[in-house]
Amino acid sequence: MRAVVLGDGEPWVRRALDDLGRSGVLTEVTTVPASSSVGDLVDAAVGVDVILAGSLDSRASMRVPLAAIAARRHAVVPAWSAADQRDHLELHADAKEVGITIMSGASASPAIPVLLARHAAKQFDEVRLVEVSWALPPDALADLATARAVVEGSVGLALVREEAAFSSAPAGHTAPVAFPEPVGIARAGLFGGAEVWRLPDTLPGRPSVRVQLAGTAPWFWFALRAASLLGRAGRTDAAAAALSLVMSRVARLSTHGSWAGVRVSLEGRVGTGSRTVVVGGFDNIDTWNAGAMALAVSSLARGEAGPGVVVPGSDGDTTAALQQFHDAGIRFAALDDALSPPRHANG
Amino acid sequence: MRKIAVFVVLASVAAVIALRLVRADEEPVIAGSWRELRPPDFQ
Repeated sequence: MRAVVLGDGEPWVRRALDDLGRSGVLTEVTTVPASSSVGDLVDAAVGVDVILAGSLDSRASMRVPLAAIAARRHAVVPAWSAADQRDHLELHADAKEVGITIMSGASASPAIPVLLARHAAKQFDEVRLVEVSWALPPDALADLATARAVVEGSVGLALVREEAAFSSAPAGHTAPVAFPEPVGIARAGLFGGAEVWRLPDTLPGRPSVRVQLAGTAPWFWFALRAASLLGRAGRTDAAAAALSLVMSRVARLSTHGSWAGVRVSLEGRVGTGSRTVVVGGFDNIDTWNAGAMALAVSSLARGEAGPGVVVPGSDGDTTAALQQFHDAGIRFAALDDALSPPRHANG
Repeated sequence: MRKIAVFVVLASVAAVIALRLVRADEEPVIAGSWRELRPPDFQ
């Protein structure tokens, strides 16, 4: 495939492009400046197969899908923010009409939990509840776009899916969650994450979905609550900038390392019994971002996803996708205790 | 009198914050050992 990239300043984007070049998925990559307009992008897309957004920036996240529809080319867009994910879904009908695929969420969130949940769901006849938990280190939150997604998702009410219907619940209210070591136990609170939008549709039984967020810095929730208050006053951008600034300072002082954690817990029915399966992992957040972008482009190259707005990892064989992550050195884990035979079997 | 009122308000706020910090964990944590997923697990 040939690709045009809108800005490739992010190291994880360059890593994804290198990996895709080495594996022969991308044969030609052209870069256009991050400040390019939709018209510039449409012009640059002549003769290429896919347009990539090379950052988590909110402006790129809308210009790339719009240019892709105008140029009738596929698009790959990272989108940590649930608001960006919602905006992309608004373009679903337009993308289907012109027959292109917009891979929205080609970033650690929501692509990694979607893939892990689909893989774990193979063990179930019906999944009833999925809890996605993220633990983010200060250096991940030092990134302004990630800080924006976090502030947007923690101001006021958080979007949740209850039995296939969208609803909302107060953000925050933290409880301890066990992430894979070395992240360990961290207090996670309800958060409006991008996974809520599409995850239920990809699993059997259309389960309820909740997303939780934790920080690996000890006083993460104080900083986030302060940022949320500023966000609630209508100053979301200022709140994200303040959170990003504080976290970039903390990252320099932090002795906790820069591991991020993800944990996906599924509860559901197997035959007449109930079962809980927990999968997760720890890694550098940029490694996951790069892996998710590579998964999105290779999934497009394999022709797995149909036209419309699609989350990477929600189509195709999860075995092949996990093997692709494994080959790239990205490992995941399962919680042994929860993988034991059904605990509440009643049949 | 005003000093006492201010003290009571501040003490109440401090107590609420302290209670929130030391409150018992509301939900159980599913503990256990994590094992790495390797290619045979992908099947």
